[in-house]
Amino acid sequence: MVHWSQKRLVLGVFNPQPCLSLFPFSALTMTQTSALSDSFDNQTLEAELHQSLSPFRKFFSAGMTVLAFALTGLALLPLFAVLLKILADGIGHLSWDVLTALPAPIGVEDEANGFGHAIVGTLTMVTIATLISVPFGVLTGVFLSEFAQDSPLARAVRFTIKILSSVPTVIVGVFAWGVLVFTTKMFSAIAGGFALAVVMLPIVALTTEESLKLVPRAYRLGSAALGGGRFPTIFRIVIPAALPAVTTGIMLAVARAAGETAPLLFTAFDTQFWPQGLLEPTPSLTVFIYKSATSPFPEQKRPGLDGRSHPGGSGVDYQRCLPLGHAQTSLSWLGCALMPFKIP
Amino acid sequence: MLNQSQQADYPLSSANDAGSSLLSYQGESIWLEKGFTIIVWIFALSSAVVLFWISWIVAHDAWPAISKYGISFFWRQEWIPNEDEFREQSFGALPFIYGTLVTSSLAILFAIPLGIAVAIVTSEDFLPQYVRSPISFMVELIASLPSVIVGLWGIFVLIPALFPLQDWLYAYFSWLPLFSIPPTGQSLLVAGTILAIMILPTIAAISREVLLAIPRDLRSASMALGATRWETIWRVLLPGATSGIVGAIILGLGRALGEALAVTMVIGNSYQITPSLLASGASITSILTNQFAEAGLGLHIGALMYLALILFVITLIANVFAELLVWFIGRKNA
Repeated sequence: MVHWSQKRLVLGVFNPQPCLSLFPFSALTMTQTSALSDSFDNQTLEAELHQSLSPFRKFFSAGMTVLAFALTGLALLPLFAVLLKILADGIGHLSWDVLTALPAPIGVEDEANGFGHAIVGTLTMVTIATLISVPFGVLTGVFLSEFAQDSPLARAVRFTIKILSSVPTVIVGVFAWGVLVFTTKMFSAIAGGFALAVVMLPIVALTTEESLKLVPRAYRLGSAALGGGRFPTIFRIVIPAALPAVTTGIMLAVARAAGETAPLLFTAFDTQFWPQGLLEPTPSLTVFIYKSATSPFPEQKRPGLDGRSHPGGSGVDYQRCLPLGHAQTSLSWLGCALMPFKIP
Repeated sequence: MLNQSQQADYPLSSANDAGSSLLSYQGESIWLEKGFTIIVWIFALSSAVVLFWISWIVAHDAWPAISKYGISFFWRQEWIPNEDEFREQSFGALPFIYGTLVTSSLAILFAIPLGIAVAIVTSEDFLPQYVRSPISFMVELIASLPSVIVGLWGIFVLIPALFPLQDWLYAYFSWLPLFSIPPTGQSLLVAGTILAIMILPTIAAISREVLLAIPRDLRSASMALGATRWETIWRVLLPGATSGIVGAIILGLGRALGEALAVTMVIGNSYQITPSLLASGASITSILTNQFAEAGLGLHIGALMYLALILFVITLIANVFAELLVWFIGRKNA
């Protein structure tokens, strides 16, 4: 196999002489090179050109390629490991009961055991969050793309929203606790929905802005030429044209919100029963997974199901978590599969 | 409603009284336009205000602890939420700040080589496009895993998988303070590894964008001078992309600092400072996750809010810096 740089040299694509002195990687030092050009003759040049790469450079190239591919493989490993674990151990436990029943009391056998209450709770709170965040997010996107565009104010708003999107979600949970739980003195689905709305808002706003910007300028000019003001232009021309992309952004935000745990832990808390109303503590899938997986009581380990002891020493409701994990991941991937991952 | 009234006004073609029809349309539309503009402004500005609202609420609720401990909160080490006859209630942030910094640094340390390797493999033409795109897609898919699922996987797969490694480290390197405590499974090391997995997509995706944005001329020039591909990458591409990659790393750091659930599930939650990476510890996020929902009002909540405020300020600084850096590079390249 011939290295490509050799091929080019052999083909005479360019005159190699100047590059010998400029080339920093050559085995030749500067003094050697100038000596070479002093006693320049065709034969040494010919020899130099046809000489293959030095062993070190060959080794370096091959070694780095191997290393880069090995590291990339290592980076992909966790994704497959997570997928494999959840599919292999979770799918066998999926059944109608799992999706519709309440969790069975600990220590009781032969009773329907599931997390239907958590599915209802998650759906409730994600719906509340969507109802709050979509108007704010979409109108903020409209503001950034159609109204303010590149003014200093728009840049400030855009920057603030970007920073908001990187605020840790645990802080969002603490904030929602301070706003709604502390003042009303109760954990509620409304507070959980509010916390999720704060998580969703920047995603909706930024994706809406990006998708509105993709609508060709000619559409807006055409609408204006026909006498359409801002309102008709935006709501009849621009948003309909960008609707698929805006919807994708909202779906992505929904998927993200459905996978959040920390904001719900402090705001909606958790129960083992069906949700009682919007102003009551509400269970959710993610909090249920977390509580089941980290339960400190050994008796929560269901007898006969999980014989393993884990080095961590905490008893774990193993069989209960994995189908949950499966349901949760599919839910969040449903949204993610739709979009090309260009969200900061 | 609004749309209908407009539609009724649209037929301007009624030639007999075009003037009055135009005027009446304008009259209504001006109100419509103004109202709409005002609504958009209000919604957009209130979205932006949320960030300041968050800082105010967190700082306000942290006030009991701030006024009691002041700056000494940062180096106090006790964390005693409930007083009994032997000990008074007392709070200090040092174990949690230490845990957060150690796990995040480990995460960065592990994620940088992996992230840059992925960025290079997916931005260079080692592989045909139809192989490269799925690879970068799959790496970014990791970012879409809910963190509680990653934590679950950490408990069931990663901790058992890393246990032999931790045992080995303890067996042969226990003379180093870093590995001086017999491993129990949950540890700072595992938490750092989990965080590395979670921030890898951020670093890989942004570094890839930065590498792709480097002008092709530079690459061509380097290769024309006879550099091999890897010499070009090391001496031309990576130096050119340094500031962008630093931005990516800081964004990843921001994510690592604020990641809550996955860390809580594998860090072990012990509130003592040990130099050993094999010992369990606690981070700011893990103490918040563990205690916030059940904390007593007053000083306990105040101390937790103070911790949240510290975390908020650290991530804010990291993210603002990274955003500015990425924005600055984008402008330079444009």
